[in-house]
Amino acid sequence: MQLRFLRVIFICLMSVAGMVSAAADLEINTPAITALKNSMQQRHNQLAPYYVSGAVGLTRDGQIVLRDANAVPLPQRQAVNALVGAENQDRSALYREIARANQHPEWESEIRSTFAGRWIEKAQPGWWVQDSQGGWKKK
Amino acid sequence: MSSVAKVICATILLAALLASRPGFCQQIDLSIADIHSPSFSAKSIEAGLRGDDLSRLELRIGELTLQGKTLHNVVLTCDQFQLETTAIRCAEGVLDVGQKWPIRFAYEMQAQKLELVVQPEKGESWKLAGEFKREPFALEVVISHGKLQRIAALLPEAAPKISAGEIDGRLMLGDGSGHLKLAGDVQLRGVAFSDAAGLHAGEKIEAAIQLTAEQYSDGWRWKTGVDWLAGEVFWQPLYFSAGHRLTAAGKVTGRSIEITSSQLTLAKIGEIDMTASWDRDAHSLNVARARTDQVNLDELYAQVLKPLLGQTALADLRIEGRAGFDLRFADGAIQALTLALQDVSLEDKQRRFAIFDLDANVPWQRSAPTRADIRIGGGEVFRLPLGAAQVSLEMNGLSFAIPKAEIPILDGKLALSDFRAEKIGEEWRWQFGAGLTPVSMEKLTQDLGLPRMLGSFSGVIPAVRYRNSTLSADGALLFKIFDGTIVAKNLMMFDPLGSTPRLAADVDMRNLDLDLLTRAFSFGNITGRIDVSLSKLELADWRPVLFDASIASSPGNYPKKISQTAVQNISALGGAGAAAALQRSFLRFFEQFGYSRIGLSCVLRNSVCEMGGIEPARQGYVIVEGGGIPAITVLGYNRRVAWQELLDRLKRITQENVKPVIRD
Repeated sequence: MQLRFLRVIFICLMSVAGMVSAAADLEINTPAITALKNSMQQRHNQLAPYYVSGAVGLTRDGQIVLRDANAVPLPQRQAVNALVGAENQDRSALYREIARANQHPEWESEIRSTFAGRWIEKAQPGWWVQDSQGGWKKK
Repeated sequence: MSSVAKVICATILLAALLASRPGFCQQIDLSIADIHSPSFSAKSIEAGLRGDDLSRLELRIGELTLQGKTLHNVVLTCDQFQLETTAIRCAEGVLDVGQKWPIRFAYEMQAQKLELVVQPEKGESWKLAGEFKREPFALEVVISHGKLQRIAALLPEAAPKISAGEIDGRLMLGDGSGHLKLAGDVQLRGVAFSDAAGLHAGEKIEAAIQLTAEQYSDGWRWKTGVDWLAGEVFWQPLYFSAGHRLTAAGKVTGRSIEITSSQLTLAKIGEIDMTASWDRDAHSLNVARARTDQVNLDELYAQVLKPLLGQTALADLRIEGRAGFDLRFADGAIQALTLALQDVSLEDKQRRFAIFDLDANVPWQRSAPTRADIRIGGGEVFRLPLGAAQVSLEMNGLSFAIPKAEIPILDGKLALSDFRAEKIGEEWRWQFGAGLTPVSMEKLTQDLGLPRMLGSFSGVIPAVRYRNSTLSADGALLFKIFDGTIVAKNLMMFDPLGSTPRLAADVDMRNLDLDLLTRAFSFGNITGRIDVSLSKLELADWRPVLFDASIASSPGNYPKKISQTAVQNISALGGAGAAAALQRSFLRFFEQFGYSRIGLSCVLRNSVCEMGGIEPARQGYVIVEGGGIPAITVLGYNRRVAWQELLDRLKRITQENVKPVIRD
């Protein structure tokens, strides 16, 4: 279910973000982008409970962060910390790959900020997201 | 004199002042001067005796500062205060520090003995006993079920906050063979601490701590033992559970805190000896050393290294073996590291690389040239097995070089030359050249899980450089395969061990023996030779995303035959609308045909292959042009084929026979 939800978000993001950044084709697909999307979708099931609990939040720069580790039982904190690190690596790689696939590596930061806004916009109620000033709020 | 001693002296002073006043009035008030010391101060001190018989004491401290923490309006009251010439007693007092704690104390004037007990909660007591007539004076603190939160306020603001935990134990300060001696033995139970984000936190911690310290003219000499008995700690990104032990000894002077010897016993990992010196004025580490003869690498990796190596190529290893090290730190940097590895095997869980039976002695020094001897029993790179090798690594600070090394690969050898690596700013750069002596294709393809191919593979690799996360080759890489040559130019590899490796190159293959090639891929037999041009090739995640490819018969005279099966398969590549044209229909019964040219091209863009052949034909293009007797012409009709569909067709071809559409 959550996997499907992420996929829907992803498709929405791709299409809406495509309108925002008219020059970049954010729907572009390459084997690397497919691999990254699959990797992120698989990880989403593990991360979803932590979005809900507020342990993990969506940042204004298109990443995620372990914002309140107190919401995670202590023995699991290291694993969640590693999940967040891996997710951020994939997200950065995704923005870079979309820029490269568009033959414009220099668009990476624009693509990242477009995605950041849309991830936050499409976050479920109850998830924690960062506002433009860096403050945290619950959707 | 310590802060504690000063507080006690102040109390005694107060008591003495009070004792010296006759009790003829119903109220006595005193204002006491401020008390200051480096770690303790008290301002606005007022004391008074109230009541008909002056039996009620009120002591108020407007501002009390302890270790940088300030408390306001600390009030001590005692209803049954006894003020006598021989003693002062408070049997039932209350200390108000924001919370109200029951307190009792007694001071004997003659013997200068003090006993003070604070019982904030039932079952909890903090008892202080002192004898000040002795030289040096003696103090004893006995704590029973003491709540740690009560002393948490004394910790630095930046430290994680203690939220739970009890302390039991005894601390003694007194004479130790002519020196002032501190001895303590305490147990901690149920300790929990955390910073605001929960990234530095511990829970259910149980520990036993012993401490002794003696004062000498140059400072304090101390010894401690800490047994971590239960609980767990997450200190981002590390997680530890109990079972570890630390013993240490050292010295504290006005200028430094020294650990002159210590042994950290990490459960399942091993024992590490450490020394260090901390500059108290500069707030920095002067020198430090950590050494061990042997630690178990599997546990060291799992508990310590793996979390620290997250998001690197070493983030997910299977590792076993033993290591010893000796690390020396001085002048703000690691000055020397001697590393001894024994029977170490490590393997990337994604099977990108592996090293087996590694023994190494690496005596690195920051400011002197040294040499490391490294012996490898075997290894693997992208599933390609490597044989045993011995390597001498020349080290000079952050520059490393291997002038020459031979690494067996299958039945051939990779001769590595002039490997150099150095750190420029924050970035590591390295380069090498290499030559590959012939490797059996049969073995190579078997190990790589590819269809069985015959012949041999050899190559010359010019200088390969790695910088800015990019691997690039100067000049051309030359390989020999299928009795022909492969030349790869403009080779660039981005992020080779990252999550999305990318490779770009222009590849030219000349004179490949089609017989060897087609036999390898169960494609049906074709006799002849081809040239393959693969320009603008780009692989992402090791899969093609872009190229201009063309296959054409090589120039020259050589036999050209194509089997019925190969004709069928080439036709099938053209898709459902593809057809093979036989010049005479009865030739379909022949096993082999003659041809004059073969040609096929694919321009891959956005996952679609734009296909072409030798020349256009009606509704399509010519893939095989007939020649000789019997001759055959094969046409392709699909001009645009999805790359994945093309791969699926190839897969089907190699798995089953596909019937072609035969056209008269």
